[in-house]
Amino acid sequence: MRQELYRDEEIVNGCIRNDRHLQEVLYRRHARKMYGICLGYAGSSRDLAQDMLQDAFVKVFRNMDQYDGKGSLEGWIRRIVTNTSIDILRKQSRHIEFIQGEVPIKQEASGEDALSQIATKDILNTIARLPKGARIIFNLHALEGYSHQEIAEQLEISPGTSKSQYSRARHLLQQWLQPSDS
Amino acid sequence: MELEKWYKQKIESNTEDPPEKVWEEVQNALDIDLVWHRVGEELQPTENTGKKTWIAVAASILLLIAALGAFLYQTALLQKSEMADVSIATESETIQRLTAITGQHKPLNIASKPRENISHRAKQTLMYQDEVRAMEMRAESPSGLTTTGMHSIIGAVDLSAATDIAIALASPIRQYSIDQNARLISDDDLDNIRNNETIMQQGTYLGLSMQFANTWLRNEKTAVGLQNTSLVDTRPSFGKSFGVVFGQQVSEKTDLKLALDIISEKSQTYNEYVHGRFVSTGIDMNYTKLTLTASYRLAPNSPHRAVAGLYGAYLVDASQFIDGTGESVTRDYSKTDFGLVAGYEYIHQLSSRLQLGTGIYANYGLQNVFAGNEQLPAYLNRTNLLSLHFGLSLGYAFRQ
Repeated sequence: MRQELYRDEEIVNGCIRNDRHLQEVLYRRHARKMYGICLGYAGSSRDLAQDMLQDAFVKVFRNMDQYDGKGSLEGWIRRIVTNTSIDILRKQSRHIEFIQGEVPIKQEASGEDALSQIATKDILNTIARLPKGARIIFNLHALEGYSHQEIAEQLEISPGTSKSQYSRARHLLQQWLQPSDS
Repeated sequence: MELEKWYKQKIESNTEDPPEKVWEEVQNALDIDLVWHRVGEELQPTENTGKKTWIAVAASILLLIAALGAFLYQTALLQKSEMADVSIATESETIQRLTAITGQHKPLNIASKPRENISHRAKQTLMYQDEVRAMEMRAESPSGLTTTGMHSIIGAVDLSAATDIAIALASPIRQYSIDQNARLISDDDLDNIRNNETIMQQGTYLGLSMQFANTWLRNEKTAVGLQNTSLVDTRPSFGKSFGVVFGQQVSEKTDLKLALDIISEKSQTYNEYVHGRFVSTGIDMNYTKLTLTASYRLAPNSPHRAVAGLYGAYLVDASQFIDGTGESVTRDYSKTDFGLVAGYEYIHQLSSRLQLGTGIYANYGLQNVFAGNEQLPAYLNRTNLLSLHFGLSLGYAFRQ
């Protein structure tokens, strides 16, 4: 694997010193991936995703001295991005909407080929159709690997709600992402 | 494929860059913090040792250059002054002797001012001096010349011919020469001087050159590495150069020189703190380099020369070594570089055709040689090549 010119230790140290150059190195290195995550939470609203990314990186730089170096730097940044995204979605409206009613279960998408042909833009448009609460739960579980217990604590809901919302979101996405027979 | 895995892979491999305004906004927010931080620093001033070190280094270099310049200037001035003193003293003595013979006080017909064109003035004075000596000898003899005759001899001297080092006098027929210090020298020595001057002042030469250089890939990382507080420790780095050199004299004091370094090494090593220990990292770059310089003699026939010029270089390969493991980074660096050269040379004349040159040259790369990669855009690692070369060259004058 290619060694980077700037190591994480050096970047962290520079960011703590408020070294703008190393702050930019950190930003350029992680911004693209984190923007993708923000888009997942923002539901294809680019303005919202950009706000999330901006707030998240400001928090990253302001709290860099709290990074203890035990886990990966990217994981630490990602956690901040996720939490910031959820905070912003929560601030938008006090009440987080969930999927109401049952979702009919259909057969899964025809396989790897069918899914691989779907563009990221279409995926984001699809995930945006989910109610905000279901979207957060789906992202936290599918993207971040949170358990339903952790999600429940984060969103102040019951683990059962998290499970059911996740299951419904998954079925809906499968339906929406299936190519039409016509 | 499982939906979750597929979704995660798609989102994480996002290829869309956030707009630049996001970074600008992040910077704006950080600037507000920074201003507050600076206000705090102002309230509790601390010593900025890094900045002070840089100022001290820059001041030392300037002082060294100024001292060297002053020394060379003083040496040249002293030489001129000695020549002027000799010339003026000889002039007054000659006038006195001429007055004694002719009974008339008359200044010598020398056009230049006392401290201007001293060499020329000294030559003319010596010519008169010799002429007066000849007149004195004739006045003592029974067939001595009359004062009128003496005047006519002086008048017969062609002053314009005095610009040559060898001066032919109308009477008596003798060859006199003077060196730079207005001393009389023999005819035999004159031939030697003429030979040497031909070598020093004329010719086209070809030679071999080698240089040993202290190199610095100057960028944010290696600059910060000079500070004690950094996790990076920039180490002194060295490289060699080998090549051929072609030179041509273009004026009495100026030579043009074209040097082709087949291999010109640039390197930079530094230690950095990774996972609790210092790891040695190095970048080695090999260039083929073409340098065009003008070398200017600090005084006529002086072996001391000031050198200035330009260089252009082509990157052959670049490698990075981290903790003993190497990999090619040629793609990360620009194929070309260009910059300025300045320095000092001392030329030893080994024989009528062979000369040995020693010198010290500073190279300053003007281009950002870092081309960027997937992780780091070029502007975030702006790198200039700086080096101080100690050179040795052996030249053969094939046309004089």
